[in-house]
Amino acid sequence: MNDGHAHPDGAADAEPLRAAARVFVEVATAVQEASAHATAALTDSRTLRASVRAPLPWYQAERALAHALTNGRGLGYALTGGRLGGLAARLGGLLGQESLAVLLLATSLRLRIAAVALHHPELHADAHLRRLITAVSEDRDLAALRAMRTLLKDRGAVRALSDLAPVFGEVLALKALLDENPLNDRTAWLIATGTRYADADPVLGISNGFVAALDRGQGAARRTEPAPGEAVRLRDRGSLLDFLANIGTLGPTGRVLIQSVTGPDGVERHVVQAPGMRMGRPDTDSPQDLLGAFSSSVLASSPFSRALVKAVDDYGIPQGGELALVGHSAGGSAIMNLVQDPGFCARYTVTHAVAVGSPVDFKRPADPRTWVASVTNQHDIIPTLDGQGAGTCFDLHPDWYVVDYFDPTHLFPACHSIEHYCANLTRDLPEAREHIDDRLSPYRGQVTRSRIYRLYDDPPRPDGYPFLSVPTRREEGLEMPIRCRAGSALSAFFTADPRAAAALVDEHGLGRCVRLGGRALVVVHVGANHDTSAGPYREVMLGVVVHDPWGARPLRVWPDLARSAQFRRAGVCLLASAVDNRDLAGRAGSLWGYRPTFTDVSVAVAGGGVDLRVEPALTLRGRLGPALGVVSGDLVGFARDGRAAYRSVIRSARRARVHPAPTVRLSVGTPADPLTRLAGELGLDGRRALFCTSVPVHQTLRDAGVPIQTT
Amino acid sequence: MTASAAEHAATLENDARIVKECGARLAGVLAGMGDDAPTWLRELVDAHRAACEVASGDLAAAARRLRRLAEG
Repeated sequence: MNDGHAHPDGAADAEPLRAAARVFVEVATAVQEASAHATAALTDSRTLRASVRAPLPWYQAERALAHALTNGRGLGYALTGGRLGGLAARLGGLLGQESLAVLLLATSLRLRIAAVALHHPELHADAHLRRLITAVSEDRDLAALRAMRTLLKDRGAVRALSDLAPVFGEVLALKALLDENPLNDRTAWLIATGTRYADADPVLGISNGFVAALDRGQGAARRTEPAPGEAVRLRDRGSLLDFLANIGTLGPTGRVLIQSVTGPDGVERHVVQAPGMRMGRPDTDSPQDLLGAFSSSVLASSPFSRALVKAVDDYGIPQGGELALVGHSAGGSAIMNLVQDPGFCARYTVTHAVAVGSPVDFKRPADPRTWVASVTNQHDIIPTLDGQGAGTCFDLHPDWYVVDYFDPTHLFPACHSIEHYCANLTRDLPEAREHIDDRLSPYRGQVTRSRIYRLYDDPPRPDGYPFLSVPTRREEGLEMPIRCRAGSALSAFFTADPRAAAALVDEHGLGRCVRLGGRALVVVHVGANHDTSAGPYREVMLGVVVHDPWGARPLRVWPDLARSAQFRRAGVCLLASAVDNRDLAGRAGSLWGYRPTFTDVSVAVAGGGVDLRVEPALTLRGRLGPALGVVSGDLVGFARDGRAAYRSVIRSARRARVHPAPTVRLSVGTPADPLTRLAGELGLDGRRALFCTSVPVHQTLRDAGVPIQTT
Repeated sequence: MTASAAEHAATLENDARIVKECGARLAGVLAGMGDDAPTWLRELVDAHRAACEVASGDLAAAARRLRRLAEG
């Protein structure tokens, strides 16, 4: 185990190699500039015009320049810079022509690898690794490919990457410098010279900007409660290990934590704690997905960091309030984006930033007073994704506290986990931990407030949007309209004895039965409402399909029944119902004009079938069969409660599928309540549905019934 | 146009000097490392120094030709 400030190994024997690597970078840069100047002279159109006036001197000058830029014993194939120079350089890259500047940089990278190998002797002792590094250094592509394949075959991708991790950036840069792909040359140059983050992948040369551009969003944060058991695990004291433990408790779940701590001086300060990448799909509505992690690392502002700003703003920290930011993995990159945001740093005083296992080498604090610490395990590949890892020869941040260490656990991703970093800081890096804790001493104290935020790429839509974004009011003790955010529904249509049906409808005085082939049409409507503003409930309604109560239209009723509720005249005369929600059972009479039985109702409308059971004695089961076409999923009901009659509507956001050949059957046991009794009277027991309509996933809006006068 | 050639000539004369100095800097690296310098590095530094020497000469030659073009 080793740690140190700025230079990881803290070992004098590696420094001469690193110093030599830096000299090679400076020399390579100077040679590259000379090459660019010579290319500019060669391709200058003003010089070309001199060929008319002085053709021989012009020719001799051009020939001398061309010779200087292609002499394999001098600058090598060194055309570079400008449109023509760039094109020629790419052509040269394709043909495997190298310049002196590139060869100098390759030597610099080999020196960096040699410096790392002093403390990672396995890089040279291991035959597979040695073979790979040597082949890459000598630009023997086929041999490098074979060595890589052997390495992967011998120990698998995870182990191979872990073993290579300390020199991962250098090996990739070497490969990119020397291979025939001209697209990755610029990335290799950036890694080798340490001037800025690698802005393309070093293998294929695909622009990071292109990949990061896929991660879009203004960023949003919503308050959320801790999951069961989490609240007690969140630490109530402020220290480095406490903050990292909190990050471990939250885990990569797309959430962040903000805490207020009363410091030893009695001043309240605030700590943002940001976990890393959320596991799962690469691009979700969370900015902490794979794309978010990537863009946070390579861009100055990303949806992740913008969402973090929203969370901090919402938390209510006063202007100029003191703030420490702690992040792991992509969370470390995101907090560093806040640190380098001048606007954020003008609103708040960012005193400390601690990034653990994060690629943050090219982040630059906007406020020079911000104290920054970076903790990285040399076998962790993630911190090297910006191109600078254990082998870097540049002291990019002499004013930062850098802990770049290694331990015997080489396996990635285990060594990247927050738990592993916590264990290392606890057991193996006591001095580094104490140093960081010492700097964080203003934040050492009792936690007085904690709030968790879930982060989003963009503000999340309200539940049920857009169908359910309606004004609400209280009526009969219920918030109306009732919004069902998730559920399913089914209507099974049966033919029934017209005289029995007409007799029941006449009792209510709510229109005339709709006839189909001389028979009345009876409907059993089933709703499974899992998530509603009135709580979950399941219900079943039995009714007879009726014409407009103010006038029958025998032919036009069919298209009318398929229309949405706001235009529909016909409906269902509700005769009986059952519901498993006591509140609704008690209030339905005054809201909708019918009085359901309160009982157990179980419903499943899924997988192409329905399974309904209403205790004690009614079932509706079977397959729905194929669907042919869709109609409105709305339900219009007429009901009478004493002298008052109501028209009520269940509006569905989804259309209903029509199933013309279902095998759904209704079964009624011993009549025990109005529902089973009326189903029996209508002769539905054992009957197969004529057709069904279904909405397997629905959202509904159900307002109070409208009183109507039909007499 | 002659002015342009003269500017290029001046730049390349300076570059020739810088590249020559680069070779000397590389030699200084080896000297600084003493016996600790690995063999592969010695071989590469020798090659790079020679290349810098040749490159410096090429740049100086090109600068002379450009100067002649500018004066002609």
